[in-house]
Amino acid sequence: MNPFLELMNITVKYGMAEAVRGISLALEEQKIITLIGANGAGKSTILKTISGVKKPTMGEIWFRGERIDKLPPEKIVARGIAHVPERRRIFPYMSVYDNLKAGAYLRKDSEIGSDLSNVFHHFGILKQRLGQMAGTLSGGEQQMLAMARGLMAGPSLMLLDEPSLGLAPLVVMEVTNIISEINKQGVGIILVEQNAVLAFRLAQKAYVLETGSIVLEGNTTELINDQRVKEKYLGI
Amino acid sequence: MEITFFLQTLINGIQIGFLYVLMALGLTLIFGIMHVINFTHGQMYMLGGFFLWWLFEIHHVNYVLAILLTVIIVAAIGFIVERFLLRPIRDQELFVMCMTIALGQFFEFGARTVWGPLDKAIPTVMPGLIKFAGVTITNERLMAVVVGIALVIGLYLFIHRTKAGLAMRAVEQDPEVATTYGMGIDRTHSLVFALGSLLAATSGALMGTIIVVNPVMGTAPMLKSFMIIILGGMGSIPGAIAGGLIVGLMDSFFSSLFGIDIAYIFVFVVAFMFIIFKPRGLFGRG
Repeated sequence: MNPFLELMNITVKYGMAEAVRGISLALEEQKIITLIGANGAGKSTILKTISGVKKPTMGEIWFRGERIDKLPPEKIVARGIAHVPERRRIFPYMSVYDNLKAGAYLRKDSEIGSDLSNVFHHFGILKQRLGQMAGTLSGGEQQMLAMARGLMAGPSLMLLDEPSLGLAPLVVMEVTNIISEINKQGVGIILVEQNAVLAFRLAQKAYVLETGSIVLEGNTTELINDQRVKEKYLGI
Repeated sequence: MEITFFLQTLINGIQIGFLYVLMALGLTLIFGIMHVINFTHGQMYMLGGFFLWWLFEIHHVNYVLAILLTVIIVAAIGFIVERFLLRPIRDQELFVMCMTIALGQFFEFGARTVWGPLDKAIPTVMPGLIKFAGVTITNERLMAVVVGIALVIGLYLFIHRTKAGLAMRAVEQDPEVATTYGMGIDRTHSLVFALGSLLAATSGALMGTIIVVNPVMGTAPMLKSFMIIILGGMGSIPGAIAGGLIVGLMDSFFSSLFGIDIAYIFVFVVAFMFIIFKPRGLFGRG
């Protein structure tokens, strides 16, 4: 069976340093997997490699039966992969509305209307903020906007990099619920998180990374009982 | 100060100011989006003057058509420069700057070789002037102001109402994220350099019509434009507009009162102050 997304033996370098060393992982359609691990373990690099911002020095990436690791980022987003980067990185000097339009940059104008109503369904707060400069939103609103911008690309796969970072617990709950809703609409998700408790609640499968390699993988229902995972990542 | 003298100097300052605004807008777009300190900008201004003179005076092309052709030619030169000479070395900012210096000299001495070093006059297309309350403005200078205002509005609409403009803003604010949403950096840089060159050429063509055209005409306006965008805030569009008008007025008033040399020096003294005490300029982002 062809998985929805598959990374095969991917190695990524920054200069001489290997940030990711020969990792392989797979995601089935409409599922959520999570990558957990300490800072610098290579989680963000993996997402950047999938979205085409970084190019692997070895290995292959396949998405819906097509090899994509040599494609430029604009071709990858056009195939339905939206990258929601770490620390939100919304366009701060643009209005909320223009940020959303930027997410839909490659789409036809006729599709944008229905996407917008879908976005407002998940992120009601943004509707009241459309004309506001994005940089003036609160941290939680900025995270919502970053995810909404990703959704505007009309993805079948979203790469979410630390969506809970720096958010108040209540907002984390809200973001968690929204991720779950988006997934229920049929969007596959790769979730990178330091907050492993949140990640395990959402994902069916988890990969544990240490210094660029996968040291442990499995269903979250099983890994949650793993002694190493418990001590190191769940803090139980 | 006599009131008519004041008004006349004010009008002159606004008129020259709008030509600075066009020039500075090009420079600030190129700096803000591409992070290029463009030392070819003055020569794009000069080429604007020369192509207009060449088309209109030598080949008798209709004036409006000649201006349109001129800015299209210079925009195309800008496009080619970005595509083939700047893009391959994009990540090495110092090399890019040196390349623009080299290109500037290439165009300046190229123009000198082809057209000679002497001043060329572009004949008056709209003779006559307007008098109002003791103040006069020639039709040509008035046209420069009108074209300047029209271009500023056009540029604003382009940046805020079109997809290409959206990409320009996104690439400026976060090039990596812009790329992941399909906004090509290559395409945007080509567009910005062509657009910046077009703005410089328009300014040069209008100034050439008002004064004269020669191979070195672009140097002083370019250096002043650098000071204008420091004053306004590097990369800022409102900054380039405000800075251009301020420097135009400074030029006009100080040269009437103290002579052109003092006026010229004064612009750069103001620039020192801004660089030391307010490096982000009037409208720069924190």
